[in-house]
Amino acid sequence: MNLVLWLPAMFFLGIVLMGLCYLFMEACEKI
Amino acid sequence: MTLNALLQIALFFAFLLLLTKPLGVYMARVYEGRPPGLSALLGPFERGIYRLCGLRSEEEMEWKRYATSLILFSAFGMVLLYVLQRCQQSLPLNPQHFGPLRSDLAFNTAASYVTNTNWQAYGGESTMSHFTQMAGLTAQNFMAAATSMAVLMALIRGLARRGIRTVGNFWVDLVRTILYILLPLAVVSSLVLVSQGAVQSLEGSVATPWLQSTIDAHPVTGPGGQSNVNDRVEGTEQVVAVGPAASQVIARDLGTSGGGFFNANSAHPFESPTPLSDFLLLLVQTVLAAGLTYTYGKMVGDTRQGWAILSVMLVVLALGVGIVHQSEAAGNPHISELGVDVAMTDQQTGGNMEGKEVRFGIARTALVATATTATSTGAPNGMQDSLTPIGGLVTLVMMQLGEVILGGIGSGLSGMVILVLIAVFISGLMIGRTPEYLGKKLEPYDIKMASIAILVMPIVTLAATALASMTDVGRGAILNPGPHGFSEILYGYTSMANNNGSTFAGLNANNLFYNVGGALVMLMGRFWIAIPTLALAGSLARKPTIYVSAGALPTHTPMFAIWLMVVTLSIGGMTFLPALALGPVAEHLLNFGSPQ
Repeated sequence: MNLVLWLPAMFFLGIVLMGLCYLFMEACEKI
Repeated sequence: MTLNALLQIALFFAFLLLLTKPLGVYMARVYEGRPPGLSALLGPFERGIYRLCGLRSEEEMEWKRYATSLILFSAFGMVLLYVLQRCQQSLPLNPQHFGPLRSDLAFNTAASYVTNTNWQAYGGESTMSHFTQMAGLTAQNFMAAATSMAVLMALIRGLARRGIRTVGNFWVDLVRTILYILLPLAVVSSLVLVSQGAVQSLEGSVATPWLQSTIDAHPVTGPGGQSNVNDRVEGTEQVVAVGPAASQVIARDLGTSGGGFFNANSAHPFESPTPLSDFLLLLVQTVLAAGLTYTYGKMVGDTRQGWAILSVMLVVLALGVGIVHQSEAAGNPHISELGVDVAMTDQQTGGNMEGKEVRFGIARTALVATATTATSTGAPNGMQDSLTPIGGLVTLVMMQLGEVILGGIGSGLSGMVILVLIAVFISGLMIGRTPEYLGKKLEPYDIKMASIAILVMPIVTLAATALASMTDVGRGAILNPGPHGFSEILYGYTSMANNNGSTFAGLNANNLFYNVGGALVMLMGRFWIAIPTLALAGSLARKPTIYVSAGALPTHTPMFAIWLMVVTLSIGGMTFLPALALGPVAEHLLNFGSPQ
């Protein structure tokens, strides 16, 4: 497993997931 | 059904009902801040945790802050668990010198435990160090379960409060759940489990002589494809994996999590050695979910509401157990065709015993297979893949109803309360009245949130199943052809999206596609339901009380319970029937249909 690829990918995926959760929360507030 | 089977099943339901009220009262007092009995012992710990973390226990949160705390806590737990798995070779308590897990597998496992799914794409005894099992997996068994309970408490407060913007304090709910409910019950239950022979040790493995020397035959495929047995090894002893299993197994079942210490879960004799330990584990994974219905009734000021919900849960569960039992007792025609005697006699239980432990038999396997899928625990005591098509269908349906039949602790009742709101809304539409529940008017925003919470799971499950069925990499993981193979994919994603974690087996899911995709399914199935549930709690808490007129729909009556059951089964049935027809229904027709 190539860590140089995987570690940034995991970090990026984590940020995207958190962002999605936040956006979903905002959408629930505004719907 | 034999008298023996009937007694075993009836005994389980009797114990469950007996324990519902005392546990329900206890939990209500814990969440109201006056835990009976244990406050003198654990109170200083609770206050110490608040001081250490700089928390103000009297501070209340609005729903968005509550949800943000939940997400941040879970994200932190996920990162920590990921790092633990990747670095376990450098950490203590690794007697078997296991190396780090692959990135995709560690990512999947971290998502799995943080979402209380405990889907296991790994073999615990051959992959995880004791430190990872104890500090990572067992700890998450408690913490993820406690976050579910916290979401439920916010929803209950939303219904119980009038004209208030806050729904409680996430951190206080989390700490109280772990300290006063999960830990004391885990300590007592673990000791009982150990008394039955479950393993609890820091050793990695033990070598034990066989009672009778035997030959370990390794079949080797010859050049022409024929199978030869030409590599024989004389064996006189075997190496048996052991470890701190009992404590993890209890944490797993208490938190309705499902990640066993051993890959075979409760079918493994070191996790559940006797019929009594099997009964204990079954009770442990259902009793808190049942008790919470009483807690719910008590906190909203009408215990009849809780009993009505529990009655629906238990009737559906009993129906499921009955169908699985009858289907398994009837046997598998393909096994009969081989000349195997599957009739029930004094010497054998008969029926479909493939994949079942002899010490448990058909009744206990049917009971646990149904309950463990209904409660989102996912720790079966037999091989789910070996169930007959109808038996497998019932376990699928138990999950596809949204894990509301008892369900995961906290999340199950949250889902059922949302279905109650939908049932009230539909009945309001039918009679032309504004829907009301517990003195609160249900408005468009509430129904939108309830609808989102209900729709996320089927959308995620069916989309992921379709994607896996259409792609080579998805289909390549199937070990069985035809409808059964489709059932394996459907079961896998149903289990992940519902945070159940059990598997049909036969699906080789430890690859990049299933590990990363499955992790995303689990995260969406968890947080994209928790967020609208908390939004609903916030909306309900802000509402004032309205005058409950004589025309309001009573929600504690048997009539409403039947209506709730119809709504629950209709939503699950309509959503998943086409997929079920392609899997277990088609397989059943192929098995039992007349040959043409």
